[in-house]
Amino acid sequence: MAETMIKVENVHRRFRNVQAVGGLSFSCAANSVVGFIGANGAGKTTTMRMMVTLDNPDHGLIEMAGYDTLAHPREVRNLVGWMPDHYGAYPNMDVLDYMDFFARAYHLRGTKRRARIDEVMDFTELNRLAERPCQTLSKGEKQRLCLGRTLLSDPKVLILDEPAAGLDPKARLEFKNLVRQLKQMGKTLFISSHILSELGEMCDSLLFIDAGRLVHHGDADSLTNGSVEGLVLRILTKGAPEKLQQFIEQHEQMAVRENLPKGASVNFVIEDGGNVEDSLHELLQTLLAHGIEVYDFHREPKRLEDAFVDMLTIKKN
Amino acid sequence: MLKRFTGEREFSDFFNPILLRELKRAVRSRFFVGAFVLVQLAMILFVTFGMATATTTGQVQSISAIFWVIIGIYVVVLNPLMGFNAIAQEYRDGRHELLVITQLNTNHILLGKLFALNIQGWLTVLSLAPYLTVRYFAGAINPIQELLTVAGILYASIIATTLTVSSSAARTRWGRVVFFLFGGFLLFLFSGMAGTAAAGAGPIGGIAILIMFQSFFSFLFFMSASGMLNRQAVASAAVFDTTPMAAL
Repeated sequence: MAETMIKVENVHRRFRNVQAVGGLSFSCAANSVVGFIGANGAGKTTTMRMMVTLDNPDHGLIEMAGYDTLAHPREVRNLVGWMPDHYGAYPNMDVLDYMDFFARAYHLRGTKRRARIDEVMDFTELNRLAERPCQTLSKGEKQRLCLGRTLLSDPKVLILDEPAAGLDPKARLEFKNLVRQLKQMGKTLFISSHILSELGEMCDSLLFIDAGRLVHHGDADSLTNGSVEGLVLRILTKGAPEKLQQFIEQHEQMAVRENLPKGASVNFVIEDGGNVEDSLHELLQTLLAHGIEVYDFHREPKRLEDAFVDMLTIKKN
Repeated sequence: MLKRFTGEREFSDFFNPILLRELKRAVRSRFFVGAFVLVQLAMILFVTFGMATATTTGQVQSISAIFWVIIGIYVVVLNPLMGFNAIAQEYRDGRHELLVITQLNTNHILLGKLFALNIQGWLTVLSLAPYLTVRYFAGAINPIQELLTVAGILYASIIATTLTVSSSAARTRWGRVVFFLFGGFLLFLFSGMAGTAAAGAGPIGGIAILIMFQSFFSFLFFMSASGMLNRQAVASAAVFDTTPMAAL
C-alpha cells in the first residue's frame, strides 16, 4: 500500500461567524496528484494554509509525511512547497535575483545554491528570462517563476493554490506538462482549482469540498459515471423542437439541461433496478411513438462541472 | 551554468538574505541617492566656506553643531522614518507568508530590515570621514568630541530605527501609529527616569544606565514586532509568539 503523505483528520476552522472548514477529513498517497476542488469560499485556501502551517486548525489533526503541522511546523515547512494564488514579487527585481533571494532564504549556500537555481530555472524554462524584471513577465511566466520559487527547497509535497488561474491555453498546457514531470520526479502534488476539466485530466484523484466539508473523494470517472445518478442525453429532432420539450415536461424521469436549436440536452434518470440499455431503447421507442422525428439520440459524457453541480444538488436535497 | 554564477562561495553567503536584498534595493532608491548627494553637497559647502570664514572657537563650534544637526536629521529622523514601511509593505504585497514559509524566522526578517536601514545611515556617516579629516587637519575640531557625536548619532539611529521597524509590524495603520507613540512614550519616560536616577552615578555611569534602559526597551519593541509578524503569518504553537509590550 502506498505511503500516506497528507493526512487531514476532522479539521475545523472558524473565522468569527464563518465556519470555513467543518470536519474535513481525507488522506493522499505519496507520489500522487490530487485535485482539490470547490467553489469560491468552499474552504480550499483555508485548508491549504493549514496544511503549510500558515494557519492552525481550531480542532483536528493535519499530518504531512507523518509530521503534525502543529507540533512540527519547521519539519513540515522543510517538506512542503507552497505556491499561493498571489505573486509576491519585489519591484525592480529581476528573475535571477528573485530566485537567488529565495534560495538564500531557504539557507542554500555557495555552489549548492547556484546549482539548485540553475536546475530549477532549467526545469521551469526560466533561463531565457533570467535578466528580465519580474514586473514585466506575463501571467504564465509569473506562474512559472512562482513554481520555480516553490521548487527551490526541493520539497516532497507541492501545494499549489489555483496555479492555472488566468493562464492562456498554451501556458496551461505547459503547466500540465510540468505537473506530469514533477510526478515522475516522485513529488506529491496537491492542486486546488475551480477549473474542473483540467484537474480531471492531470489528477490521480479529486477531492471535492463544499462549505468546508468533503463531498466526494475519487477519480474523475467515479464522479462522471459511477457516483451520481442520471445520464445526459443529446436528442435532436427534425422539425420544431417544441414537441420534444412537451414530451420532456410530461416525463418526471427527464429534465432539460440545455435547450438546443433542434432539440435538447436532457438529464435522464433511470428507475431503480433499471437497465441502462433497456431504458434507453424504451425511451427512444416512446419518442418515436409520440411522433417525434428523432435523427440524433446519443449519450453525452457528463462533464466534470455538471457532475459536480449534480452531486452538490443531490447532497443538499 | 548561468553567467552570473561562475564564482566560488560568495562572501554574501554569510549574511541575512533580507539584509542583502533590502540594502541592494535601498542603495538604488531615489531617497537614499538623493539624500546622500545632498549631504555630500552640504558638507562640501560647510568645509570650504564654513572653515574659511570661521575665525573664533565659538564660530567653529557653531558650524560644527550645524554640521551634525544636518547629519542627525537625516540619520536619526528621516532615515528611520522609512522603517514604518518595512514590514507593512510585506503585508500589503502578501510576501510575509512567503518569507516565513522559508527557513527564515520572523527575527531574521526583522533583523534584516533593521540592519539594512541602519547601514544606510551608517554609510552616510562613514562618507563624512574625508570632511572630518580635512577639518581635523585644518585644526578646527576636537576629534574626541566629534567621535562621541558620531557614536551618539549612530546609537540614536539604532534606537529610532528599532522603534519604527517594530511599529511597522502592526497590521493596521492605526496599530503602527499607536505602537510608535506608545513605544516612544515608554522610551522617553523610562529614559528620563533612568537619567534622573543615574544623576549621581557620574556621566559615564549615567550614560551606561540610559543605554541599558533604552536597549531593554528596544529589545521589547523588537520581540513585540516579532510576535505580531508571527501572528500575521504563522499561527503556530511551536513558534515564539507573545507580545511583551502588552505584558507591560
